[in-house]
Formats: sequence, structure tokens, C-alpha cells
Amino acid sequence: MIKRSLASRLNADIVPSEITDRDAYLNRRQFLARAGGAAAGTALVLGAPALSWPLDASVYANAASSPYSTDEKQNTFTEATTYNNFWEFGKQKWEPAQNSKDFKPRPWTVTVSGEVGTPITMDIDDLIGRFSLQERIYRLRCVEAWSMVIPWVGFPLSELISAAEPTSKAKFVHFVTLYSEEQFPAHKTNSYLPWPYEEALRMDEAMNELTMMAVGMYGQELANPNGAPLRLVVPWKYGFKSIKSIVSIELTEQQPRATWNQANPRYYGWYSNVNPRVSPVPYSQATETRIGENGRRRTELFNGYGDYVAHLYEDLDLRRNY
Amino acid sequence: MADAKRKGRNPAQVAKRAKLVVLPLTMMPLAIALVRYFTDQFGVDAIGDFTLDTGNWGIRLLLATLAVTPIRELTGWNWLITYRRPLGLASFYYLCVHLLVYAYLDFALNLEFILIDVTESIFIVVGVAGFLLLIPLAITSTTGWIRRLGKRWRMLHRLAYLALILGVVHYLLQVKEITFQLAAYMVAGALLLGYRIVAPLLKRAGAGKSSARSRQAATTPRPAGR
Repeated sequence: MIKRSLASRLNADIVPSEITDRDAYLNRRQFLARAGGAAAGTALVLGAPALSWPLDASVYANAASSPYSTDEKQNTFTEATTYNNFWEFGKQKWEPAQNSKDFKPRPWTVTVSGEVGTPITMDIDDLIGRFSLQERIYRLRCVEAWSMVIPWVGFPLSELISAAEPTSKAKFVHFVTLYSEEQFPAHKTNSYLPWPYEEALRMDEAMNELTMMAVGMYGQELANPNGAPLRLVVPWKYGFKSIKSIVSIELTEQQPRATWNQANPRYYGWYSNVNPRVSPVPYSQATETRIGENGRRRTELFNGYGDYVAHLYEDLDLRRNY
Repeated sequence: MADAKRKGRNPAQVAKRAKLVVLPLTMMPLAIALVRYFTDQFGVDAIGDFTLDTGNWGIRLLLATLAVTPIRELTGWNWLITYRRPLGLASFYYLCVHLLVYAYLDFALNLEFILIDVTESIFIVVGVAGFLLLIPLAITSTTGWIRRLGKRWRMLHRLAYLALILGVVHYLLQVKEITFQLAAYMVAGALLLGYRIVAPLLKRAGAGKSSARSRQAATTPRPAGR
């Protein structure tokens, strides 16, 4: 209560004339980030957030457009924020929208650790300030055979990993969602999945140009049901790989655990690349429902992103390594 | 006693009354679903919700149909038997709509996609099998067929239990975990099936010879009306 009223007070104190200064401030921060990346050596451990939350809307609205964006018809903001799988808030798809209203995505600290030369522990808004944000309109294909087109705002994961300077032992990237019985109702009451939620990518998948960290959507801050304040977006994999509300990114030598893969390895492979010809689940992955459309679409291998990612799996039997 | 009051009544009239009660009542969920679908009151995945809703009512009404005989035998409310046919047909109608929503709304009648989906999804195969079993039951639900098939009618209509099992398995195969509703279907189905297996055994062990004939007379509906 106190924290929220403080945040709203801070917000109310901002008058429009002050906002122009913020752009200059952000530019300076980005410059510092690049300079910092070059200097390196010391751990980037920062304390209090440099920017007050919420960040000015223009931070998200002015994100640069990206050549990786699709020009397909976007789903509506309402569709993207009221039809979600986010079991921390409940298993029905309408529940995240209902049960995430009191979720507090700030204050929020993110760590990058493990096989890195420069571990990072940073406030989320500080982190956002260090990257030039891009808008990327990606297809999202859920393992449940539905899909949406969503304009995410964020930055390439590779930039964050590079800033942490991975060691030669870094083979995988392990992501962990916040564990909080206060913030996530299901953490307190339900053990249907082993909390906290975890996901993982191979290093080359994580460094791929398509892999992004989203902090916004539809030109706004990331909504709570969609994994505020920081989520992964890996558009050629089934949606559950794109882990939400991340607090920890760890680079590892051994293959890390992934929650759904652990819960049911027969249905949910560790890779979970979108593949219309392999349906380990008891239903077909050959077609999908684009939310908002009647009829079905043919599902594409790698969700249509094969040009960017097929080379990652050249030596892999996709039937076995699904 | 309830029986005695109705004794003089024309069986065709009794059957008609049951139909007039059951049909409007059982079609109400469908009316609600149609209104919700066409006024965007389902969720974001309206077709999915519509499919689930009609499938659920198909199973619920099939359970209700199969509950008629046990309840009647346990309570002695013999008039209940007239409600069995309209309940069974209502279940069949819901499953027809269920299939129609799947083929027409979900797949826009794209036969290629439907064929792929049916062959690649075990739960669809199971569901279709259950539906196919119900078709001969719906056809032979008329008084004429009851008369024509005689004893064999009862044998044939035991397929309804198999259809119920297939329907519940069809549901079970596509959920990530067993919901309360699914558990309720399984328990109710097991009780109904269990009763039909255990009750004759108990009767045979207990009451002696004359019961067998009266039981048969009770479970086969008397030709009534059309």
C-alpha cells in the first residue's frame, strides 16, 4: 500500500516540462551502457533505481521498428492480455488477467550470473535504460495449437549476455521466474508445477538475433498477464519456452532444467521448437487457430522463422529432439 | 403409487409430455451458448469455448440418460422411464452441434486439415468413435425400432455406456490435469456402470426367479407413441 502510493506520488510529481529532460537522460544512460560494456572487468552492481517507475510512455512508444517484424495482422491488446497461460495466476486462460491485478512489477531486480566475467545485478528500469528498445512484431505459437501476432518492445538477449561477458564454459542459459507466495497466488496454494518456473536455451539459441527480452508490448509497458516486467520471447519455439517475470538469468555449462519438460518430458521436449510434423502431445500440431480468425492455418516449421534458425538444428534429428 | 395415478393414461401422451418437458429444458444451454457466441460473450477463444460447452452438455445429458434406470429402480418412480429417450436424444443433438462447431467454425470445413487432425489426434479419434456409436442408438430410439428389435434393442443400447466411456476418455486425453468436472464425470460414469453390473448380480443372488422377467420388462421401454 505504502509503496504504491509512493509510486503514484512520484508519478504525479512529474510535470510535462520535465519529460524532455528524460530523453536526454536516457541517451546519456545508453551511452554509459556502451562505454561500460567496453570498460568491463568490474561487476555492474547498482543499487537504487535511477529512473522512477512507471517510465515515461515514450520509452516504449518510440521503440525503433525492426526488420524482423511480420506484417501480418496484429491481435488486439485485449486478446493478448486476457487469453494467457500463466499458471502462477491460475490455470484458466482468463485467470491471469483477473488475478494479476495486484501484481507489483516494481521494484524488481534482475541478475545475470554463472559463467560470466561480469555478473550483473540491476534494477529493471536501470536495465531498460541501458538498451535502445526495438519493437518486434512476432508470431506466438502456443503448444495448445493457437497463435497470435504481438508487437513486443524490448532488446536482443544477445546484448544483455554480451554485456555480462560469457566465459568459454557458458553453454546454456537458464532463466528463472520470480518465486513469491505474496505475488503469485499459485505459489502459495498450488503445487501443480514445481515452482518457480524455469526455462532454458542453448547458448546459440540465446544469442540468435530473433531471441529478445521484452519489457513492453503495443507501445506500452509489458502487462502483468504477459510477464511484466521482463520476459523472454523466442518466436520459433512453443510459447511456454518464453518464460515470464524473470528475476534470474544464469549461464551454465550443464543443460539446465525446464519446468514443462520436467513435468511431462514425453509431451514437452527440452527444445520445443514449433514443428507441424511432430506431435508428442495427444493432439495434432499440423494446424493452428489464429486467435480472432475462423478456420485454421497450417503451422510452419519453426513457426515460419526457419530462415533465421534452421541452421541451429542442422545436426539434430527433430523427431527425436522435439 | 405414482404409477397407479397414471395407469389409465395413454402411453403416447405420457411420452409426448416428457418430450415437451425435456426438449425445451435441455436446449436452454444451447440457446445460451448461441447467444454468447454471437454476442461475443465467450472468451477470446470463442470457438474453443463453444466446442467445450457443447461437448460438456453432451456428456452431462448422456450421464442423465443413463441415470434414469438406476434412479427409477432405486426409487420406484417408474414414470421416469419416459424421460430417458428425450434425454438421450438431447445428448445426441449436443454432440451433433459439437461436431458441427468443430468442423464448420474451427476448421471452416477444410477437409484436408480435418483429416490431418483426426488421424494425428488420438483424442479426436476416440471422440469420433464415441459419436459414431451413438448414431445407431439415435436412429433406433423410435417406438417402431423398439418393437422391431425386441430383446436386441436392450443389447444394442448398452453401447451408450461405451460411448460415455469414449466421451470421457476423449475429454481426459486433452487436458493437462484432471479438473473437478472431469473427476465428477468419471465418478458418475463409474457409479452408473457399476450399478448396471452389480444390481443384477445382487438381485439374482437375493430375490429368486420371478425378478428376472420383471426386470426385463422394466428396462425395455414399452412402445409408446410414434
